[in-house]
Amino acid sequence: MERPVNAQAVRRVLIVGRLALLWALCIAGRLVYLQVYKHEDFQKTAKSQHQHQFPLPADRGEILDRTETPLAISIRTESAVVNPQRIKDVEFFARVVAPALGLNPEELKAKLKEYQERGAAKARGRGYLSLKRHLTPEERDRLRYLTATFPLEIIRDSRREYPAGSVGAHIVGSLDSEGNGNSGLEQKLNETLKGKPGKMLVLTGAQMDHYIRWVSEDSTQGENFTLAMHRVIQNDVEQFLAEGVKEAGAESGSVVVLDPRNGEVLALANYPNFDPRNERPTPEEAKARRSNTAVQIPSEPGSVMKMITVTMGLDSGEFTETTPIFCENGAFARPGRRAIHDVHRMGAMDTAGVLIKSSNIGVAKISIRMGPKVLYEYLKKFGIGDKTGIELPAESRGMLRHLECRGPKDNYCWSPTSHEYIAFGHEVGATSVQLARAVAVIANGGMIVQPHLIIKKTRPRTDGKLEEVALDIRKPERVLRAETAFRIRRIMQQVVQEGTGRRAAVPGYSSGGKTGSAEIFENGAWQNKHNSSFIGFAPVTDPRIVVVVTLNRTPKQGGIASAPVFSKVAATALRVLQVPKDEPEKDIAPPQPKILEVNELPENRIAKAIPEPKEKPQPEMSAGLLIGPTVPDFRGKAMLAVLRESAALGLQVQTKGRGVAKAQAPAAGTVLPAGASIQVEFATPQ
Amino acid sequence: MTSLAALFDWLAAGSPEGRTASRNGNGTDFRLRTLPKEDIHVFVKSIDNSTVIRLVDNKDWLRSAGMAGGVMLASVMLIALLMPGGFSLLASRQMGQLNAEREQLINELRQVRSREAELLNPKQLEVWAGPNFHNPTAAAVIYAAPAQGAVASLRKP
Repeated sequence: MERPVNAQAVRRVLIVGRLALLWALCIAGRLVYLQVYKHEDFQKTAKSQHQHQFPLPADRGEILDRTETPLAISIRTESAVVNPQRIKDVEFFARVVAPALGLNPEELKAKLKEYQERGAAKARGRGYLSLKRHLTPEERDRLRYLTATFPLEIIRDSRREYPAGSVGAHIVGSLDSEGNGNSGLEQKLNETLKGKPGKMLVLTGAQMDHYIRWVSEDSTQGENFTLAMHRVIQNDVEQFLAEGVKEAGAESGSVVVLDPRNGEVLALANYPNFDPRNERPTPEEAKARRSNTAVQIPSEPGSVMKMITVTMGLDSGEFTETTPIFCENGAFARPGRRAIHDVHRMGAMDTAGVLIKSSNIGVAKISIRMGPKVLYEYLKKFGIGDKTGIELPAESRGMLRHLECRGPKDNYCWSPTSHEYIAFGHEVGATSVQLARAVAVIANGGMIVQPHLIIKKTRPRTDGKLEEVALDIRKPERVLRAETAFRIRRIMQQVVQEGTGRRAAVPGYSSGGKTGSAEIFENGAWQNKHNSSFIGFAPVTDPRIVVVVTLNRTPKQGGIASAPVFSKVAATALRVLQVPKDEPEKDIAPPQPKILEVNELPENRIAKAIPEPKEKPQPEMSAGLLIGPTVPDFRGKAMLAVLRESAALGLQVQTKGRGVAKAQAPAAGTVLPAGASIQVEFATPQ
Repeated sequence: MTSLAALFDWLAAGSPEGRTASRNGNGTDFRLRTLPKEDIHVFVKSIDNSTVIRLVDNKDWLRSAGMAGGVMLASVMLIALLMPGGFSLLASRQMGQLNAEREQLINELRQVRSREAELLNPKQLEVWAGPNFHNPTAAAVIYAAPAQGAVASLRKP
């Protein structure tokens, strides 16, 4: 018999059912919220808790010299790391692990404890402490047994090796402790060299213990660079530079060797140098590492700038080699302007002689005739004031002020007399690389080239082979007429043969060049220290190298301090490059410094008083272009006195014999034609 | 129901004769004595299969053979399906090993090249050669004819 259903009971059942439905809906809603709406967040959280991603360091690209010999190469190594938060008994860990790695147990214990105490909060249990980098095979084998017991890990690492040591250090550069370049090409090409790091995924348990790992994305090796630098030339250049700096009593120096045909930098050295293998450099070494003088620090070029001024004169057609210029007998004073002085008192000279004898007044007159605008144009043609684009960090663009002021407050512009001083290398600054590029214009027949270090770039393909990458190097551009360049080359050859650069002669080769000595003016006074330089090329007929030598803060001048360095560098470079000789094969012993040369005044000093001569030779023409000096009477004088007197008058003397002067040609009192020399015969007194 | 000792006896008896003898008390006297309060009660029911008749069923045999054949075919197909995967697994493992070996060889090559460059470093050569190593003088350097290439060599004094 069925019992009648109570309406109240039905209502209760319905209420309970509705409540159950509501509860089910709440649950379902919560599920939807968690599983659908917050799906990605929770997935991310879960992943972050048990899945960790570690970067796989990529192999850094290689840097090779022009013979494909490695200068910087990365070797894969392994390093031992540990998560200190997972070490329960630090003392036990240190006592067992330290001997296996050749570490001091007490030091390791202290380090681990410190890390545990201080690093725990910051690292949230994820931090790693590097126990030892670059494990030896024996250490790795010993450690493998311990990884089962301790929370140790052996991870992939790499070590940068510099097999050439300090050779080419300023070119190659070095790495910091993080593996990023901090100087040289290592710094400039850091992004390209370091490649693309890979990714390793690691699944961890609740105790952060790794139970599975796999490489999700393999690393890609960085690009390899082959340099134009030749390590044998570079090594010799560094040695000659160091010797030159010491002999000249200079503080620093730099040498650049360039192939003028294409702008390849065969060597670039600075003194002081550094060793990139030294991970903990001394303050001096760290300073040397940071300063690449040849590229980063411009200095007043001094007389080497005369090469550009004379080139401007010849190229414009306003002057020829034989155009006479009166050099005001050593002092060129005009009202309201600073006087320009020459070291040697020279009268009338031809344009070639102005460069050969390095007359400040002569080039100032050329500049005055041509005007500031033309000079500025030629400076720009030679690349002064513009970066060369060499692949080294922090390259300076030198110092070349604007031709015209951009406002009443613009001080960085030429004054009305700037072009007179810039003509012989004042009020302008250039780096050694910029000077090398400028000389290369002359050596390369009037074509400007881009100095560059890299001649080949390769990228590893997936099949393991190397793929060559095209380089972006500017093609040579013509900025001068070829005949002008050839004429200047011949004049510069005479600078080495009979001018201020005689010590730059290269045995077996013809060479041309120009000396430069800019005295340093500091704290309101001349310091009797110079930036002495020599720029040159060899052989003259078909130049294969351009060399720029700069010695900073030396008491000696360019012709004495820098020219011998040029000679040594050029001889080595030409021998290594197997350039055939173009002069009779004889070993020219470098001439010993003469008293006259050692004591001569800087070429570019423009405001220093020069002792007045007892008898000031008078120019015969006020225009001062055609009449030369009168030949003095040398008879009865000692050779040293003859040389001193002729040098003071800017006369060229050819001596024969020893003793006192017996005869001379032309005779005393005659006017010496421009470019001619005086023959003086000496004989021992009876 | 029986005791533990009886159970051992039953297990140890082996043959039906032995079991009968054991039950009759005529067997070898290796039986254990009943331990106090250690009785295990086992109920034994004898089944007599003597009246069961075996009938040969051809249909059943065919079904069995078909089943076995099917299973074999399925196994072969499964193997055929899995084999390429297996081979590729093995191949990938082998490739991984070769790749690791290649990487190791590349690294060794780098080490050797680095060492070679270190030994041939001009500075190092100068150190080793000592006073016997110096740059040749200009007159000592001669050049072959241009047709043979400009190769520098040292002229013997």
